[in-house]
Amino acid sequence: MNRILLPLLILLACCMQTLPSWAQGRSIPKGSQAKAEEAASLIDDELPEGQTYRYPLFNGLNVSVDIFDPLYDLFLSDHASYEAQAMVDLHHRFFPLGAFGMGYADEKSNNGIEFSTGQKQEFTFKSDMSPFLKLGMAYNLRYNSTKPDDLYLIFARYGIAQSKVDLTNLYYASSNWDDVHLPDLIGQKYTTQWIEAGVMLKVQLIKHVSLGWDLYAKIKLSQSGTENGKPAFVPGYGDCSSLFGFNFRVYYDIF
Amino acid sequence: MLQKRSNILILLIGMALAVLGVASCDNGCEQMRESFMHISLTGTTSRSIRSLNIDAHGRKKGMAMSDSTTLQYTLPVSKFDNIELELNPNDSLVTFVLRSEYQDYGDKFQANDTVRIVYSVNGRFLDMDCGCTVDYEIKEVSCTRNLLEEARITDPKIFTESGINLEFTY
Repeated sequence: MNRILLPLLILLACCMQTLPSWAQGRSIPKGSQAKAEEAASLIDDELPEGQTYRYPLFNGLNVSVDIFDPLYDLFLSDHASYEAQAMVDLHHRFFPLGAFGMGYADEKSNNGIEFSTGQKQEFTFKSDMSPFLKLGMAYNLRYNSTKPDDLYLIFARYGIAQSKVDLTNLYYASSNWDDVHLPDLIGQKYTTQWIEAGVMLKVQLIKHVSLGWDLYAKIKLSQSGTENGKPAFVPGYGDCSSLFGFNFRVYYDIF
Repeated sequence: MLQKRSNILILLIGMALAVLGVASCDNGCEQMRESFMHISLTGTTSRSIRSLNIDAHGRKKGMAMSDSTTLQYTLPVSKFDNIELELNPNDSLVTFVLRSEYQDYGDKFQANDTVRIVYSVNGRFLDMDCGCTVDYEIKEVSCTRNLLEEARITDPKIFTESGINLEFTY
Protein backbone atom coordinates (compact mmCIF):
# COMPACT_ATOMS: atom_id res chain seq x y z
CA MET A 1 0.00 0.00 0.00
CA ASN A 2 2.85 2.35 0.89
CA ARG A 3 4.35 1.79 -2.51
CA ILE A 4 1.27 3.23 -4.14
CA LEU A 5 0.41 5.91 -1.59
CA LEU A 6 3.85 7.46 -1.37
CA PRO A 7 4.32 8.29 -5.06
CA LEU A 8 0.78 9.64 -5.23
CA LEU A 9 1.43 12.00 -2.32
CA ILE A 10 4.62 13.29 -3.86
CA LEU A 11 2.97 13.70 -7.25
CA LEU A 12 0.10 15.59 -5.65
CA ALA A 13 2.45 17.96 -3.84
CA CYS A 14 4.31 18.59 -7.06
CA CYS A 15 1.15 19.29 -9.05
CA MET A 16 -0.17 21.68 -6.40
CA GLN A 17 2.99 23.70 -6.80
CA THR A 18 3.09 23.58 -10.57
CA LEU A 19 -0.47 23.97 -11.79
CA PRO A 20 -1.06 27.60 -10.86
CA SER A 21 2.02 28.61 -12.77
CA TRP A 22 0.99 27.08 -16.04
CA ALA A 23 -0.82 30.20 -17.06
CA GLN A 24 2.58 31.93 -17.18
CA GLY A 25 1.21 35.33 -16.14
CA ARG A 26 -1.27 35.71 -18.98
CA SER A 27 -4.27 36.26 -16.73
CA ILE A 28 -4.65 39.43 -14.71
CA PRO A 29 -5.62 38.75 -11.12
CA LYS A 30 -8.21 41.06 -9.64
CA GLY A 31 -8.27 42.36 -6.10
CA SER A 32 -5.45 43.80 -4.09
CA GLN A 33 -2.93 46.36 -5.25
CA ALA A 34 -0.12 43.80 -4.81
CA LYS A 35 -1.80 41.39 -7.16
CA ALA A 36 -2.29 44.05 -9.76
CA GLU A 37 1.39 45.01 -9.56
CA GLU A 38 2.42 41.43 -9.88
CA ALA A 39 0.23 41.02 -12.94
CA ALA A 40 1.67 44.17 -14.47
CA SER A 41 5.21 42.95 -13.95
CA LEU A 42 4.35 39.67 -15.64
CA ILE A 43 2.90 41.48 -18.63
CA ASP A 44 6.17 43.42 -18.91
CA ASP A 45 7.92 40.06 -19.05
CA GLU A 46 5.85 38.81 -21.93
CA LEU A 47 7.78 37.94 -25.06
CA PRO A 48 7.73 40.18 -28.13
CA GLU A 49 5.30 39.04 -30.76
CA GLY A 50 6.69 36.28 -32.95
CA GLN A 51 9.22 35.11 -30.36
CA THR A 52 8.47 31.65 -29.06
CA TYR A 53 11.26 31.17 -26.59
CA ARG A 54 12.74 33.41 -23.94
CA TYR A 55 15.96 31.36 -23.78
CA PRO A 56 18.42 30.39 -26.54
CA LEU A 57 18.61 26.96 -28.14
CA PHE A 58 21.64 25.93 -26.11
CA ASN A 59 20.84 27.27 -22.68
CA GLY A 60 23.13 25.19 -20.52
CA LEU A 61 24.41 21.84 -19.40
CA ASN A 62 24.21 20.28 -15.99
CA VAL A 63 25.52 17.11 -14.43
CA SER A 64 24.15 15.37 -11.40
CA VAL A 65 24.75 12.40 -9.17
CA ASP A 66 22.17 10.42 -7.29
CA ILE A 67 22.91 10.27 -3.57
CA PHE A 68 19.73 8.49 -2.47
CA ASP A 69 20.75 4.97 -3.46
CA PRO A 70 24.27 5.17 -1.96
CA LEU A 71 22.85 6.52 1.31
CA TYR A 72 20.13 3.89 1.32
CA ASP A 73 22.79 1.27 0.69
CA LEU A 74 24.84 2.59 3.58
CA PHE A 75 22.08 2.28 6.17
CA LEU A 76 19.29 0.02 4.99
CA SER A 77 20.10 -2.24 2.08
CA ASP A 78 22.73 -4.46 0.51
CA HIS A 79 22.32 -3.23 -3.03
CA ALA A 80 22.77 0.08 -4.82
CA SER A 81 23.02 1.79 -8.17
CA TYR A 82 25.53 4.61 -8.45
CA GLU A 83 24.37 6.97 -11.16
CA ALA A 84 25.63 10.13 -12.86
CA GLN A 85 23.47 12.05 -15.30
CA ALA A 86 24.07 14.82 -17.82
CA MET A 87 21.25 17.01 -19.07
CA VAL A 88 21.33 19.61 -21.86
CA ASP A 89 19.02 22.64 -21.69
CA LEU A 90 17.45 23.46 -25.07
CA HIS A 91 15.40 26.68 -24.98
CA HIS A 92 14.87 25.86 -21.29
CA ARG A 93 12.07 23.64 -22.57
CA PHE A 94 13.57 20.37 -23.76
CA PHE A 95 16.23 18.56 -21.77
CA PRO A 96 17.80 15.56 -23.53
CA LEU A 97 19.49 13.49 -20.85
CA GLY A 98 21.79 10.54 -20.49
CA ALA A 99 22.75 8.65 -17.38
CA PHE A 100 25.44 6.09 -16.80
CA GLY A 101 26.08 4.10 -13.69
CA MET A 102 27.11 0.91 -12.00
CA GLY A 103 25.09 -1.23 -9.62
CA TYR A 104 25.66 -4.23 -7.40
CA ALA A 105 23.83 -6.43 -4.91
CA ASP A 106 25.06 -8.71 -2.16
CA GLU A 107 21.99 -9.70 -0.22
CA LYS A 108 20.87 -12.44 2.07
CA SER A 109 17.29 -13.69 1.95
CA ASN A 110 14.73 -11.65 3.87
CA ASN A 111 14.23 -13.25 7.28
CA GLY A 112 15.35 -16.63 5.96
CA ILE A 113 13.15 -19.27 4.38
CA GLU A 114 11.36 -21.37 6.96
CA PHE A 115 11.12 -25.10 6.44
CA SER A 116 8.65 -27.65 7.69
CA THR A 117 11.20 -28.66 10.33
CA GLY A 118 11.10 -25.10 11.71
CA GLN A 119 14.66 -24.54 10.52
CA LYS A 120 15.50 -21.34 8.66
CA GLN A 121 17.92 -21.14 5.78
CA GLU A 122 19.42 -18.03 4.27
CA PHE A 123 20.38 -17.96 0.63
CA THR A 124 22.58 -15.34 -1.01
CA PHE A 125 21.84 -13.21 -4.06
CA LYS A 126 25.02 -11.66 -5.40
CA SER A 127 25.19 -9.44 -8.47
CA ASP A 128 28.62 -8.23 -9.56
CA MET A 129 29.16 -4.50 -10.10
CA SER A 130 27.59 -4.07 -13.56
CA PRO A 131 26.91 -1.14 -15.85
CA PHE A 132 23.68 0.44 -16.94
CA LEU A 133 22.71 3.24 -19.30
CA LYS A 134 19.67 5.48 -19.45
CA LEU A 135 18.67 7.84 -22.25
CA GLY A 136 15.68 10.09 -22.35
CA MET A 137 14.11 13.50 -22.45
CA ALA A 138 12.71 15.87 -19.86
CA TYR A 139 10.22 18.62 -20.55
CA ASN A 140 9.96 21.87 -18.62
CA LEU A 141 6.38 22.87 -17.92
CA ARG A 142 7.37 26.55 -17.31
CA TYR A 143 9.88 27.03 -20.08
CA ASN A 144 9.34 30.77 -20.55
CA SER A 145 9.34 31.58 -16.85
CA THR A 146 11.37 34.64 -15.81
CA LYS A 147 12.72 32.63 -12.89
CA PRO A 148 14.66 29.86 -14.58
CA ASP A 149 16.68 28.59 -11.63
CA ASP A 150 14.17 26.07 -10.33
CA LEU A 151 12.77 23.43 -12.61
CA TYR A 152 9.66 21.30 -12.64
CA LEU A 153 10.06 18.67 -15.31
CA ILE A 154 8.26 15.65 -16.56
CA PHE A 155 10.48 13.04 -18.11
CA ALA A 156 10.78 9.66 -19.74
CA ARG A 157 13.89 7.49 -19.87
CA TYR A 158 14.82 4.24 -21.54
CA GLY A 159 17.21 2.04 -19.59
CA ILE A 160 19.35 -0.98 -20.37
CA ALA A 161 21.52 -3.01 -18.02
CA GLN A 162 23.57 -6.14 -18.07
CA SER A 163 24.17 -8.10 -14.93
CA LYS A 164 25.68 -11.36 -13.75
CA VAL A 165 24.17 -13.04 -10.72
CA ASP A 166 25.29 -15.83 -8.38
CA LEU A 167 22.64 -17.50 -6.23
CA THR A 168 24.04 -19.74 -3.53
CA ASN A 169 22.81 -21.84 -0.62
CA LEU A 170 19.44 -22.42 -2.29
CA TYR A 171 16.84 -24.55 -0.58
CA TYR A 172 13.41 -25.75 -1.52
CA ALA A 173 10.91 -26.56 1.20
CA SER A 174 8.37 -29.22 0.32
CA SER A 175 5.28 -30.13 2.30
CA ASN A 176 5.38 -33.73 1.10
CA TRP A 177 9.04 -34.59 0.67
CA ASP A 178 12.31 -33.92 2.41
CA ASP A 179 13.60 -30.38 1.88
CA VAL A 180 16.10 -30.05 -0.94
CA HIS A 181 19.42 -28.27 -1.10
CA LEU A 182 19.38 -27.12 -4.74
CA PRO A 183 22.50 -26.66 -6.85
CA ASP A 184 23.90 -23.12 -6.79
CA LEU A 185 22.99 -20.97 -9.78
CA ILE A 186 26.30 -19.39 -10.70
CA GLY A 187 26.93 -16.84 -13.44
CA GLN A 188 23.31 -16.20 -14.45
CA LYS A 189 23.50 -13.49 -17.11
CA TYR A 190 20.64 -11.07 -17.65
CA THR A 191 20.04 -8.23 -20.08
CA THR A 192 17.19 -6.01 -18.98
CA GLN A 193 15.49 -3.16 -20.81
CA TRP A 194 12.93 -0.88 -19.23
CA ILE A 195 11.30 2.54 -19.40
CA GLU A 196 10.74 5.08 -16.66
CA ALA A 197 8.43 8.09 -16.62
CA GLY A 198 7.77 10.60 -13.89
CA VAL A 199 8.39 14.03 -12.46
CA MET A 200 11.64 15.77 -11.65
CA LEU A 201 12.27 18.74 -9.35
CA LYS A 202 15.44 20.82 -9.35
CA VAL A 203 15.92 23.66 -6.86
CA GLN A 204 18.96 25.93 -6.96
CA LEU A 205 20.61 26.40 -3.58
CA ILE A 206 23.65 28.46 -4.51
CA LYS A 207 25.10 29.51 -7.83
CA HIS A 208 25.74 26.43 -10.01
CA VAL A 209 24.61 24.00 -7.28
CA SER A 210 21.10 22.59 -7.03
CA LEU A 211 19.30 19.77 -5.30
CA GLY A 212 16.44 17.80 -6.71
CA TRP A 213 14.57 14.57 -6.88
CA ASP A 214 13.04 12.33 -9.50
CA LEU A 215 10.01 10.23 -8.82
CA TYR A 216 9.02 7.79 -11.50
CA ALA A 217 7.10 4.70 -12.44
CA LYS A 218 9.09 1.99 -14.18
CA ILE A 219 8.17 -0.96 -16.29
CA LYS A 220 10.30 -3.70 -17.80
CA LEU A 221 10.23 -4.07 -21.57
CA SER A 222 12.26 -7.26 -21.79
CA GLN A 223 14.64 -9.45 -19.86
CA SER A 224 16.76 -12.24 -21.28
CA GLY A 225 18.36 -15.15 -19.46
CA THR A 226 15.47 -15.88 -17.10
CA GLU A 227 15.32 -19.68 -17.52
CA ASN A 228 16.24 -20.15 -13.86
CA GLY A 229 14.20 -17.23 -12.58
CA LYS A 230 14.26 -13.46 -12.71
CA PRO A 231 16.83 -11.44 -10.76
CA ALA A 232 15.75 -9.66 -7.57
CA PHE A 233 17.83 -6.62 -8.47
CA VAL A 234 18.89 -5.00 -11.73
CA PRO A 235 21.53 -2.23 -11.80
CA GLY A 236 19.84 1.07 -12.60
CA TYR A 237 16.37 -0.45 -12.34
CA GLY A 238 16.68 -1.33 -8.68
CA ASP A 239 14.55 -3.69 -6.67
CA CYS A 240 12.52 -5.71 -9.15
CA SER A 241 9.51 -6.06 -6.86
CA SER A 242 8.90 -2.29 -6.90
CA LEU A 243 7.06 -0.37 -9.62
CA PHE A 244 8.36 3.03 -8.52
CA GLY A 245 11.78 4.61 -8.30
CA PHE A 246 13.24 7.62 -6.53
CA ASN A 247 16.49 9.55 -6.95
CA PHE A 248 17.77 12.41 -4.86
CA ARG A 249 20.26 14.40 -6.91
CA VAL A 250 22.98 16.95 -6.42
CA TYR A 251 23.24 19.05 -9.59
CA TYR A 252 26.08 21.16 -10.87
CA ASP A 253 25.35 23.62 -13.68
CA ILE A 254 28.40 23.65 -15.95
CA PHE A 255 27.09 26.34 -18.29
CA MET B 1 11.50 34.47 -2.08
CA LEU B 2 8.24 32.77 -1.14
CA GLN B 3 8.43 30.70 -4.30
CA LYS B 4 11.96 29.59 -3.43
CA ARG B 5 10.96 28.57 0.07
CA SER B 6 8.04 26.52 -1.15
CA ASN B 7 10.28 24.80 -3.71
CA ILE B 8 12.76 23.88 -0.99
CA LEU B 9 9.90 22.66 1.19
CA ILE B 10 8.62 20.38 -1.58
CA LEU B 11 12.15 19.13 -2.08
CA LEU B 12 12.44 18.17 1.58
CA ILE B 13 8.93 16.70 1.80
CA GLY B 14 9.62 14.52 -1.24
CA MET B 15 12.80 13.19 0.26
CA ALA B 16 11.27 12.58 3.68
CA LEU B 17 8.34 10.66 2.19
CA ALA B 18 10.70 8.57 0.05
CA VAL B 19 12.78 7.63 3.10
CA LEU B 20 9.63 6.67 5.03
CA GLY B 21 8.38 4.70 2.05
CA VAL B 22 11.46 2.56 1.57
CA ALA B 23 11.86 1.97 5.30
CA SER B 24 8.39 0.45 5.55
CA CYS B 25 8.56 -1.92 2.57
CA ASP B 26 8.55 -5.56 3.66
CA ASN B 27 5.73 -7.63 2.22
CA GLY B 28 6.83 -11.21 2.87
CA CYS B 29 6.40 -14.03 0.40
CA GLU B 30 3.36 -13.50 -1.81
CA GLN B 31 3.99 -16.16 -4.42
CA MET B 32 3.30 -19.86 -4.63
CA ARG B 33 6.46 -21.77 -3.83
CA GLU B 34 5.43 -25.35 -4.43
CA SER B 35 4.88 -26.81 -7.88
CA PHE B 36 2.22 -29.49 -8.13
CA MET B 37 1.44 -31.89 -10.90
CA HIS B 38 -2.21 -31.57 -11.95
CA ILE B 39 -4.12 -34.65 -12.99
CA SER B 40 -7.51 -35.14 -14.54
CA LEU B 41 -9.51 -38.35 -14.23
CA THR B 42 -11.69 -39.47 -17.08
CA GLY B 43 -13.94 -42.50 -17.07
CA THR B 44 -14.85 -44.57 -20.07
CA THR B 45 -16.35 -47.63 -18.33
CA SER B 46 -19.54 -48.31 -16.41
CA ARG B 47 -17.56 -48.45 -13.17
CA SER B 48 -18.38 -45.83 -10.61
CA ILE B 49 -15.50 -44.74 -8.40
CA ARG B 50 -16.53 -43.98 -4.83
CA SER B 51 -13.18 -42.96 -3.34
CA LEU B 52 -9.58 -42.61 -4.29
CA ASN B 53 -6.55 -42.50 -2.04
CA ILE B 54 -3.18 -41.64 -3.47
CA ASP B 55 0.13 -42.17 -1.74
CA ALA B 56 3.75 -42.17 -2.80
CA HIS B 57 6.77 -44.23 -1.82
CA GLY B 58 9.30 -42.32 0.24
CA ARG B 59 7.25 -39.29 1.18
CA LYS B 60 7.45 -37.70 4.63
CA LYS B 61 5.96 -39.74 7.45
CA GLY B 62 2.78 -38.27 8.84
CA MET B 63 2.19 -36.06 5.84
CA ALA B 64 -0.73 -36.63 3.54
CA MET B 65 -0.17 -36.63 -0.18
CA SER B 66 -3.84 -36.88 -1.03
CA ASP B 67 -5.77 -37.84 2.07
CA SER B 68 -8.66 -40.10 1.11
CA THR B 69 -9.72 -37.89 -1.73
CA THR B 70 -13.38 -38.72 -2.01
CA LEU B 71 -14.66 -38.27 -5.49
CA GLN B 72 -18.26 -37.21 -5.35
CA TYR B 73 -19.21 -38.15 -8.86
CA THR B 74 -20.11 -41.12 -10.96
CA LEU B 75 -18.07 -42.07 -13.95
CA PRO B 76 -18.35 -41.92 -16.89
CA VAL B 77 -20.55 -38.85 -17.06
CA SER B 78 -18.30 -36.60 -15.03
CA LYS B 79 -14.70 -35.65 -15.20
CA PHE B 80 -12.50 -34.85 -12.22
CA ASP B 81 -9.83 -32.24 -12.92
CA ASN B 82 -8.46 -31.27 -9.59
CA ILE B 83 -5.98 -33.80 -8.28
CA GLU B 84 -2.70 -32.20 -7.23
CA LEU B 85 0.35 -34.31 -6.52
CA GLU B 86 3.86 -33.23 -5.78
CA LEU B 87 6.79 -34.97 -7.41
CA ASN B 88 9.83 -35.75 -5.28
CA PRO B 89 12.33 -32.88 -5.75
CA ASN B 90 15.14 -35.08 -4.39
CA ASP B 91 14.82 -37.68 -7.13
CA SER B 92 13.96 -38.10 -10.79
CA LEU B 93 11.55 -40.99 -10.37
CA VAL B 94 8.46 -41.43 -8.22
CA THR B 95 5.85 -44.14 -7.87
CA PHE B 96 2.34 -43.26 -6.78
CA VAL B 97 -0.05 -45.86 -5.44
CA LEU B 98 -3.72 -45.29 -6.25
CA ARG B 99 -6.19 -47.13 -4.02
CA SER B 100 -9.66 -46.95 -5.50
CA GLU B 101 -13.00 -48.10 -4.24
CA TYR B 102 -15.46 -48.53 -7.04
CA GLN B 103 -18.89 -49.87 -7.76
CA ASP B 104 -19.69 -52.12 -10.67
CA TYR B 105 -23.33 -53.10 -11.25
CA GLY B 106 -24.13 -52.51 -7.58
CA ASP B 107 -21.19 -54.48 -6.13
CA LYS B 108 -18.30 -52.72 -4.36
CA PHE B 109 -14.69 -53.49 -5.26
CA GLN B 110 -11.25 -52.26 -4.37
CA ALA B 111 -8.32 -51.96 -6.77
CA ASN B 112 -4.75 -50.74 -6.49
CA ASP B 113 -2.74 -49.28 -9.32
CA THR B 114 0.74 -47.83 -9.42
CA VAL B 115 1.83 -44.98 -11.65
CA ARG B 116 5.54 -44.56 -12.28
CA ILE B 117 6.79 -41.16 -13.41
CA VAL B 118 10.25 -40.27 -14.67
CA TYR B 119 11.08 -36.55 -14.72
CA SER B 120 13.79 -33.91 -14.46
CA VAL B 121 14.07 -31.29 -11.70
CA ASN B 122 15.16 -27.69 -12.20
CA GLY B 123 15.52 -25.06 -9.45
CA ARG B 124 14.09 -21.60 -10.21
CA PHE B 125 14.61 -18.40 -8.23
CA LEU B 126 11.45 -16.48 -7.30
CA ASP B 127 12.47 -13.50 -5.17
CA MET B 128 14.19 -12.49 -1.95
CA ASP B 129 11.11 -13.19 0.17
CA CYS B 130 10.13 -16.54 -1.32
CA GLY B 131 13.47 -18.05 -2.29
CA CYS B 132 13.29 -20.86 -4.81
CA THR B 133 10.77 -23.16 -6.35
CA VAL B 134 11.40 -26.18 -8.52
CA ASP B 135 10.06 -26.88 -11.98
CA TYR B 136 9.69 -30.40 -13.30
CA GLU B 137 9.52 -31.87 -16.75
CA ILE B 138 7.86 -35.26 -17.14
CA LYS B 139 9.88 -37.56 -19.37
CA GLU B 140 7.94 -40.79 -19.12
CA VAL B 141 4.88 -42.23 -17.43
CA SER B 142 3.71 -45.82 -17.08
CA CYS B 143 1.05 -47.57 -14.99
CA THR B 144 -0.44 -50.90 -14.01
CA ARG B 145 -3.84 -51.70 -15.48
CA ASN B 146 -5.99 -53.09 -12.68
CA LEU B 147 -8.55 -50.31 -12.77
CA LEU B 148 -6.61 -47.77 -14.77
CA GLU B 149 -6.65 -48.05 -18.53
CA GLU B 150 -4.17 -45.37 -19.39
CA ALA B 151 -1.95 -42.63 -17.90
CA ARG B 152 -1.14 -40.03 -20.56
CA ILE B 153 1.03 -36.91 -20.52
CA THR B 154 -0.90 -33.82 -21.62
CA ASP B 155 1.65 -31.17 -20.64
CA PRO B 156 5.09 -32.31 -19.49
CA LYS B 157 6.11 -29.01 -17.91
CA ILE B 158 5.19 -28.57 -14.26
CA PHE B 159 5.62 -25.19 -12.63
CA THR B 160 3.76 -23.18 -10.01
CA GLU B 161 0.94 -22.17 -12.33
CA SER B 162 0.78 -25.01 -14.80
CA GLY B 163 -2.40 -26.61 -16.15
CA ILE B 164 -3.30 -30.31 -16.45
CA ASN B 165 -0.13 -32.40 -16.81
CA LEU B 166 -1.45 -35.97 -16.77
CA GLU B 167 -4.69 -37.64 -17.71
CA PHE B 168 -5.75 -40.89 -16.07
CA THR B 169 -8.40 -42.91 -17.82
CA TYR B 170 -10.49 -45.59 -16.08
